[in-house]
Amino acid sequence: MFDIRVEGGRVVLAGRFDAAESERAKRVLDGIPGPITLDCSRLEYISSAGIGVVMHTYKRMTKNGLTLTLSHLNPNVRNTFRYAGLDRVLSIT
Amino acid sequence: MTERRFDRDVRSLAPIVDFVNEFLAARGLAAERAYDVHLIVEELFTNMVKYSRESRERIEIGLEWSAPELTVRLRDFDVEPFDVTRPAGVDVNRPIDERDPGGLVLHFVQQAADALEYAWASRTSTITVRKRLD
Repeated sequence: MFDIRVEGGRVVLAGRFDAAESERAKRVLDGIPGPITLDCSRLEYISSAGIGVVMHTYKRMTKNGLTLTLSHLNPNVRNTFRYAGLDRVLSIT
Repeated sequence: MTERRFDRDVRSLAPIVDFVNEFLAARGLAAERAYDVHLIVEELFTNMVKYSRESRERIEIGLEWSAPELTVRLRDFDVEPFDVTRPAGVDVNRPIDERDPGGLVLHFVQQAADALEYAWASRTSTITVRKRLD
């Protein structure tokens, strides 16, 4: 199960961000002008499909001079970003 | 080996997760230890769904546990070959603006697996992955 919701100035991700959910997440994120902070404190899992949405959002933000920040990643999710070489590129707090 | 077949659709991911977790729980293995297993299975399954559109056959996933190693086997029937052991061609040091996330599928599998084998015969692709869970 995956959930994405906008709460104040943050976007809260929860559950499993997999290929079955990537299009829905992309539609939600594309509707946010930015800057964007992704609260990952309840995100349990992310696959390459989810990483692709994050990369797409990052490119959109930087193109418009805005920022994308990820916060509170669990060790497994952080390791997936490391596999992608994005832990050194993205702003992760 | 415990096997089950799934419709070739990303909506099969939820029952696949349940299948893997039930297999692990029945052997006293905590689901938290199997994060990379879920990642490997999803990437390989969705890759089959995406690139073998001509097949109408369901995709088979098999699991076998021999401590401390889990063996995962995926079989895709009536398909052209797609060697997942080939170099993924992902340069994680390239600027993000120049990168295509699509290439990450094989890269993730190759990063997460301890061993990865591919075979193709009689129009059936067989992928075997081994992953230690200790």
